[in-house]
Amino acid sequence: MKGRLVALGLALLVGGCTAVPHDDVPVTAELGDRLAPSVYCDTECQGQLVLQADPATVRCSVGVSWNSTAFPYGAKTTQMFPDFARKFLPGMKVTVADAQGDAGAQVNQVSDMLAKGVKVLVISPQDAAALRGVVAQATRAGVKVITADRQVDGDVASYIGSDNVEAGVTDGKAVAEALGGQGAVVELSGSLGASPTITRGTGFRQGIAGSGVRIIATQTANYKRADGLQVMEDMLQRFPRGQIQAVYSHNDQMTFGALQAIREAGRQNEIKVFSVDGESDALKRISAGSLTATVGYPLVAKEAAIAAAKLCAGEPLAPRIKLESTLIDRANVGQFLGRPPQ
Amino acid sequence: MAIEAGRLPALTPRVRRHWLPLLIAAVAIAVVAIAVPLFFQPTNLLNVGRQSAIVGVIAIGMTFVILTGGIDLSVGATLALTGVTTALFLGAGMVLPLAIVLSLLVGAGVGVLNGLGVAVFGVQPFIMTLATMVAMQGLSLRLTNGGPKSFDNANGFFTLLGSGDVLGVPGPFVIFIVVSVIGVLTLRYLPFGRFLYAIGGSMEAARLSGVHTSRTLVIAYAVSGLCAGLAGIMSAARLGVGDPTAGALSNLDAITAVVIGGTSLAGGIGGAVGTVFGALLLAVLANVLNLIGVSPFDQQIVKGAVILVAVLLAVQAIRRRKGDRS
Repeated sequence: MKGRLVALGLALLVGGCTAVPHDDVPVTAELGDRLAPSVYCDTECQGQLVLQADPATVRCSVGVSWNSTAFPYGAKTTQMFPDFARKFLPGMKVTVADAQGDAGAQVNQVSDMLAKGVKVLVISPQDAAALRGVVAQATRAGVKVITADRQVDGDVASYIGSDNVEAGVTDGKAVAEALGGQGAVVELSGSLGASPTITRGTGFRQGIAGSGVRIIATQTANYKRADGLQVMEDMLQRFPRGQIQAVYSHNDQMTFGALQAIREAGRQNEIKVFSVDGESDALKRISAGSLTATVGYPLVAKEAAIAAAKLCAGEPLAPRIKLESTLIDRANVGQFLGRPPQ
Repeated sequence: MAIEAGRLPALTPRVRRHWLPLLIAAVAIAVVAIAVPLFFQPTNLLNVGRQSAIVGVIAIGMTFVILTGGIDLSVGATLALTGVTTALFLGAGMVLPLAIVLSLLVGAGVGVLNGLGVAVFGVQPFIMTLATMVAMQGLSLRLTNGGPKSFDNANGFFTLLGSGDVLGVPGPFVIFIVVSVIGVLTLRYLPFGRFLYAIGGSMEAARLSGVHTSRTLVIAYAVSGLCAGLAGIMSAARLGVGDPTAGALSNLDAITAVVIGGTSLAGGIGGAVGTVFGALLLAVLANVLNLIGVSPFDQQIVKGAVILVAVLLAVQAIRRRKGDRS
């Protein structure tokens, strides 16, 4: 009995050892199996992100400074960037810093990175103006700067990200088409004054311009699920049956709250819901039919890592690398299910 | 809005003391009824009840702490943390009662930590609970990698805590009322409740008259943490996820509800009945502003103004009450 247990233990041990790959970063659908941008990088974008050098020869120190990781977007990007680099760019040394939504803290963190001698700085600035000084300081010191997702005032090597205005326009056009050019929309906006809120709102208005679709109410739900639920409950109360044809929500989390309120009011058949982001839960709801569409706002982790590698290798880089704002609806959700934008 | 006292005052002075807030409440209800008939639709009233519950439950716990002259800034972060732990426990296949009890213990544990810092190590309540707030926010994000954690909430009882109802009354509102009744009775009739008033009146006098002040303080903060923990479970039940950024501002909402309800931030005066009304007022205000369709920018201005007026009235009431005593 004892002998058998020992044998079993040994077998497990051996089996366990052989099963673990030497590479400590597992192959996931998100990281992919080679050094390549995501599916949200179109032909032009892919052409801009071809690394000429052998990835194994790229050796340099890269600083990644993110405005906040208290949101899935920032959290995922700051985890994916170093994982992707470790897997496909073994000579790249990545340092990540989280500014926790504080522009002052971000200035200090970038200064620290410069002092440590990074060669490339990838930054998603908390504030375009507040980070201008330290970015200029980096450029003067010969550090190449990439802004990711958000822009900063001043000259940088490249700005990578999708366009919030375009995301809004895409949703606006989709709503106009889905409603046959006629109908009433309730808008759930993000945190007041935040730049994605302003741009996603502006884009949507451009998208529905010229059609008979009108926004009958705009209310903030702070990009939060609980707020989306509560505000939508009040909206359903204010506009009884038949008065709302569609909801446009600035992010998927608020959308999930709104969908719950609509379902609880039993009005899911009369209200179409449009969103922005493309979380995997959103794609599941699209294929299940409860969510009409979401516009992908893709992570920029892989694209930013490849761009950083190009700068490390001394290769030229396009000043603007744009990721697609793809409309994902029931017709095309199948091709995105395993690799959501976020 | 009633203010508790050890003795029951005669009816006339009670009415005299409260005629102004009562009059204003009556006028407000009349205005709302005429301007926003939608408000009194049964479905809307049920919505408001549900919407008031989470902040209400936190605010009842907060009342215990504020009565001692303290403050608990960590309740929002505790709500997020217990929402996340509930989601993680249930996601890992734990049975529901165990997941709930463990999450309540997590909430109470944060409270005990606050209480020990304040009572034993003499840290200012503001700083102590600020520190745990920041740490718990980080812990919630760490546990979830920054994104909401979803779980399977098919269990009927768990639905009851969030979306379900008891004889037509929303489950969360029932919990809020039960917690409120326990809170009111504890503060009025249990020695522990009276000790809180004594500590808020004068810590030294309470100690000299034999109150075990450290133990009482630790329990007060534990109650606040426990209530925040319950609110976190309710939030997870309502949303079907543990959201690490949930409740970010609910600490301020809860403090506002307590103060509007007539409890003095200096401690020693006030009670849980007022807090119930404070929490309801905040929920009604948010709901009515949405029903009227006030722009989101103006909503904040109106909310600020209403809170200020309500607090001024509460402060007046506290002043009159102090006058009664002397």
